[in-house]
Amino acid sequence: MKRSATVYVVDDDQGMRESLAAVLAAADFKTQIYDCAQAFLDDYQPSHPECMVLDLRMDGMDGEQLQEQLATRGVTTPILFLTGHGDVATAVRVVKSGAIDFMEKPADPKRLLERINAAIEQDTYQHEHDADLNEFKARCEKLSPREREVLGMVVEGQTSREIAATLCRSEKTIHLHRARMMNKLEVHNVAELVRLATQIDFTGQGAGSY
Amino acid sequence: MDGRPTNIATADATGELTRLMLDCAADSAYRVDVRARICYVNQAACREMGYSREELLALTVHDISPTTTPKVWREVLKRVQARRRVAFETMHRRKDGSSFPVEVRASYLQHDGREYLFALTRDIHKRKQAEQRLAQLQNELEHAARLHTMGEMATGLAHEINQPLGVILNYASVCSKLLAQPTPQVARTAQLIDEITSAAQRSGDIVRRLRRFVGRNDVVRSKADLNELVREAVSLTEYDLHQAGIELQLDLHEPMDAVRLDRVQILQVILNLLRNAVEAMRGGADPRLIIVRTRSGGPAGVEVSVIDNGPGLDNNSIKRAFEPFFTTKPQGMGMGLPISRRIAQAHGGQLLCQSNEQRGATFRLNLPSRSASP
Repeated sequence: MKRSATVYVVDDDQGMRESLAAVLAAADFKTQIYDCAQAFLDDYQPSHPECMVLDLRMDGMDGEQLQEQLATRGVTTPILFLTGHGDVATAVRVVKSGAIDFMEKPADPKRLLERINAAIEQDTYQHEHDADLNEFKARCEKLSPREREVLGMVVEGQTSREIAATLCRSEKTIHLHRARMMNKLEVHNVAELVRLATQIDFTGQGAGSY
Repeated sequence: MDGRPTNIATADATGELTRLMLDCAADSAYRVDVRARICYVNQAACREMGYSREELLALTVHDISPTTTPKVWREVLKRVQARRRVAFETMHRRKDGSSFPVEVRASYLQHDGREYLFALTRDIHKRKQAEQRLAQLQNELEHAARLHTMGEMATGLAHEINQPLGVILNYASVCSKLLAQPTPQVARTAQLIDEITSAAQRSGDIVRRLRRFVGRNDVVRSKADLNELVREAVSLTEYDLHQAGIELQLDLHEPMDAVRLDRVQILQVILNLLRNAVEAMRGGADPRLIIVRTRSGGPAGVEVSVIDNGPGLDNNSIKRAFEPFFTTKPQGMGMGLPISRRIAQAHGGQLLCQSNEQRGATFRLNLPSRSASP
């Protein structure tokens, strides 16, 4: 898993950039290095598992702005910031905005690699999880309008009897819808169903509203 | 004068009167013949030198002023004969062997077909001490200003030093990995060690420059190339320029006439001008540009101009820019420019400012290149 992980390095200092690449290569990471944020954005293609090591202060677009850009593009790849001068205020801000950590330069390569490994692990988990959710979403598309309606009500916490009353159907019919729906969604119990549906923001208010 | 009444109604009344008047004078008076023999002294001279009148009259100039060798004496004589009146400074030695600086004003006299030098001398050790103290205080002030500047630049300098340190850490960790492999990659390791060496040298250079800049506070003048100092000042400001998003253009005249100067002081002036320019452009319109221009060979000697395209200076600021404690910066001490101007003047040069026709201001430092003695 680690062997195929990619680390993107964006730093406007050539020495720092190239020496980091050497450290990462020696640790068997695939590395892509960029001297500015824009070049990275123009070139970036996700290749999970991956993580990003960004210099906080750069000419043009700085690390914080790059983080925003990635967020608006829906990129959830873990970001590790390198800060040159203990710029704590900015560092705290970027961590609050979702960066997994920041390290002050000069960073100890051993500790840096530890954090990168942790970031890659997080991305692996995140990515698998994202994949699960995407599959679940795709399965939701296959539900009939009535099944979707029932799913929405189940997520809201209604019992079969309540759903039956609302839809003016027999409880037995609702049981049938529920069973078929759970079968299509490949979930084994209501708890799993609710967890996944909540994560994709399934509200059941009309078709395809999630 | 000795408490007894003096009868001046004698034959040589005028001469006696003159002598009495000279004895009242605070300055020491000497009449010396061309062979440097002392022919007359007043009371002040006896008092000052610790000799009796008889003792002094048996001595020569060389005895009371050891620095006045026969060769020096001949030159003094020549100058007095040519110009009638000369003023100079020299050292006198008392009977007890102690020395003190004197200011001498000498005139050429002819009497009875013989030539004399008439000299009034004044002990100036107090003035010399005050001058030394003032120079020392000025040096201390300059040193304090340099430390202050360094303090303001600390963030940038820490970054400059940390960057190569980070590179060293990175390559060193790779090296140990490469060497720990079953077949150590010696060639690649050697290559990385070269990178480590040059990064360490870069850190070392920065620290050395800093130490040179803040380390000492005595004045040492030597022949120097102004362009070199400009480059050094630029390297120290690089980070600030970068952070402020300012482009720097160097327009350096080659070759520059060599100038005798104190490297640290002139570096301080150039650095101060550069940092002022960066500061002036904060919040200014883009594109922000600073041009550092050097010129040589003109009537003004060598010069360096720092030209910015910031908001410029209003008339009041131009008038007051070099006044102590005048500052337009919220964190400013208002000492940078007055100190810089004093340094320029101490080098026989000038520091001037003016508003540009378009945008911004120009500060120009002139230094006379004739002071570049081989």
